[in-house]
Amino acid sequence: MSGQELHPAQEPTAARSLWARWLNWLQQLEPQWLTFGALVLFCLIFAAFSEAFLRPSNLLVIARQSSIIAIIAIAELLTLLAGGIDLSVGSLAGLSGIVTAGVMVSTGSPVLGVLAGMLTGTLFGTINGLVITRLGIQDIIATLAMLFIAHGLIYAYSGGQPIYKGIDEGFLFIGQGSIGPISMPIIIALVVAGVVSLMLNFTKLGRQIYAVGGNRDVAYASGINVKQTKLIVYMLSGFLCSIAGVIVTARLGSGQPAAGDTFLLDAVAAVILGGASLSGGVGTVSGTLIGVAIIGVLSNGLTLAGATYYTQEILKGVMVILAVLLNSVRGLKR
Amino acid sequence: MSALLEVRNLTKRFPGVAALDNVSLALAPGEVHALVGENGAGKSTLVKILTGVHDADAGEILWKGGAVPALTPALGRALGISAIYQETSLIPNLSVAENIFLGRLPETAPTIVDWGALQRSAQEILSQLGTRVSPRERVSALNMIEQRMVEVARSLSSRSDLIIMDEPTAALGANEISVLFDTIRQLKARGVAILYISHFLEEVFQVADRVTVLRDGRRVNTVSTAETSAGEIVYMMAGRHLDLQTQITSTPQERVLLRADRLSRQNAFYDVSFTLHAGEILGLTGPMSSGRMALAHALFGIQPVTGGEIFVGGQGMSRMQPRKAMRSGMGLIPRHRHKEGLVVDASITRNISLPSLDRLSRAGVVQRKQELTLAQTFIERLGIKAKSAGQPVRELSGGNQQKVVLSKWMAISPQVLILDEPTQGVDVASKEEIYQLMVELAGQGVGILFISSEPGELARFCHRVMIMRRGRIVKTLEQDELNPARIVEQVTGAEKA
Repeated sequence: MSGQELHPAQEPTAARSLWARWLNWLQQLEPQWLTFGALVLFCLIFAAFSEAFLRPSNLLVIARQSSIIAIIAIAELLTLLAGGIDLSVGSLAGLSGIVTAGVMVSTGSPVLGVLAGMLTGTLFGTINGLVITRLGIQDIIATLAMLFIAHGLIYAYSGGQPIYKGIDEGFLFIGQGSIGPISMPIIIALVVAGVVSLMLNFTKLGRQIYAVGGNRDVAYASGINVKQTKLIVYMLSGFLCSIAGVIVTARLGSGQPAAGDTFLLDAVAAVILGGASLSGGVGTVSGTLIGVAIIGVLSNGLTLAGATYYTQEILKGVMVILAVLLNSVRGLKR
Repeated sequence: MSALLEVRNLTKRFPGVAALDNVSLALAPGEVHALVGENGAGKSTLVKILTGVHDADAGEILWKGGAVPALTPALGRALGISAIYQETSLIPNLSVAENIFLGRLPETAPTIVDWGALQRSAQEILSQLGTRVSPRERVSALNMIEQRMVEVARSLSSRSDLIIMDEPTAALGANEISVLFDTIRQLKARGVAILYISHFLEEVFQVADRVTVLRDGRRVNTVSTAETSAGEIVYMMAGRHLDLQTQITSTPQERVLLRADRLSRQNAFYDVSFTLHAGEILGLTGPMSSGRMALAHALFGIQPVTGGEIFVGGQGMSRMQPRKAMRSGMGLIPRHRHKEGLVVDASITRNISLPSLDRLSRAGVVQRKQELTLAQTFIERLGIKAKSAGQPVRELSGGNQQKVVLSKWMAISPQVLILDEPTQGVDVASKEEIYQLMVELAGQGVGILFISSEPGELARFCHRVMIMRRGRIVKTLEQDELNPARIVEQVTGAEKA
């Protein structure tokens, strides 16, 4: 028996068949195309409001502003794909950024600074993974605790003051430089997206991540080391956050204690907009990038249109609900 | 005598199968009515309709002579129908008393619970049942038997006119069973009707007035226990299979592939020993609650054992894990495809390759061409019907999904395959294909542990069949004594009835 026979066609009354056809079309679409459609729609709307919006220079500004969130969203995507969630991404990025600045200032070496920053993020990500897999603490609880711990450490380390004296000039290139018209953060974000996408699609680890998040019991019964996979995912998440942290420091030219505070919610929103499922196993890097772009376009376009920041937040919230709603409508008839 | 409950021509279809087909049944007040049949005969579906879990596709339900619209759990309770399920439905973090009176706690004033009255009433019911469980105890602190008694107490307390008992004795010992039976007789004397679902014919003949036999979703007959015998009931349960010829072609070899030595797991199975030879199809059957699924899980290392040892190819495996089991050449086709067999959102290819990723990868990179070839080989060999190898398995029919699970494990070239109800929820054509595959694999020297509830398919394909009851292997039928009726007889304990 083929799959279609399970869903016999509806009686073709006019209204219903239109709805059914629309639903059917919706279901055939890959989820990221839906989000992509929304992105295009927003761009058109904003272009109508402001001629400045579609200018290449403005689009590059949006890309640059979105690149840090993009990296953090990809970190979040990895943990969501594996059936977990990482609430500590913002704090870890902030901690990595401040450690980068601090070590650079005290040693005078930008290389040591960056290394220390990245090591810190990766280490704390690993701790997340160990607490979850070895101590058996739920992902959301363990990373919530880490959110607080890392946030506290940022202030303990910096004394609540920005670290800016003695930041290496060459180091700033990571955040402020550009190759041709494309600024460095965009390039780094694209490289990260490319590598993670390849990893998810082509490597054994990628398969294991999807399987563990898709159905943990099946993955275990198929001989996959579930705990190890989750540990690696949290480690990678911490690592990616540390990259974001380093860029933030270079971009601001200083280690700012509050730099990572707003990242978490934007990242989760972007991943969900991009079609990933909170229950794991579903989601893509490309979808996530589109989600990030939507958030970037919303805030840029609304600013150009003269809307307040609060309006942006309200719209972001509405968008998230709409995205999830669309996805569940898609799932309805399955 | 007017009927308390009457169902007329009840029908319920699931994709590919008619779980209930035109079933009619009537219960009089004070009647203990047993419902028997193999697993999958439709008993659970009927219970689920009567308790409002499922809607019937067609048919009528009459309660005290009046037609009942769609039943919901709340409506059922309001009418006076309660149920005790096979699996416990208690809330572990609440006290015994709270569980018994859940949803109808006594109140001193609106929304204020009368704790004193609650404890007293709970105590009264528990004493009636002759159990020493305290009403204040948390349910999570109780053992299985005590929990079952709490469920019985809950049913009693609701003063129902009809209590549905779905395998109520599954986890109980002999003493508790006799207490339960006394209780049933008391209830009967009070005019309460009981629909008693059981695999154990001895129990049926002890407590029931009448028996309805279901087979393949249809009612075979309803007879009075006084006017029938266990043998007759066995015949009704197994009937259709009686003419089937065995189709065993291979002969088991001397070589032992899998050996269980006094395996035990608390509350699941005890002292299980058997050997599985190369080229052998070894059957395992028993009621769903017999511990057979837990045994399959333990053999494959999904759940730990609490005693005994597993030998694969003569080698002792301490602390079995799926990974170890796989490496030693074992595969498990689990009973619950969706829970344990498939990542339903993933494609056919990715499901098939999952246990073979090590072999398919070079330096951590999956060789996608090889992977696709592997998937396509099996799609072709097993005749999996799909749009493409990239189609998500959730879109496939039950039979094709099952073939994906089979492919997944055949891809590791297993020495031993454990198949737990491989043909359940599978259409007839796929069923036959799965059988042929099993026979073919056995012919190639694979050892197969075939767990099933269908006496027909067991008798047709197995070299030997082990019968499991209440966590123990009580009998192993050899090839020359294998026929469906013998299997049903052993599973139901008909010889003791």
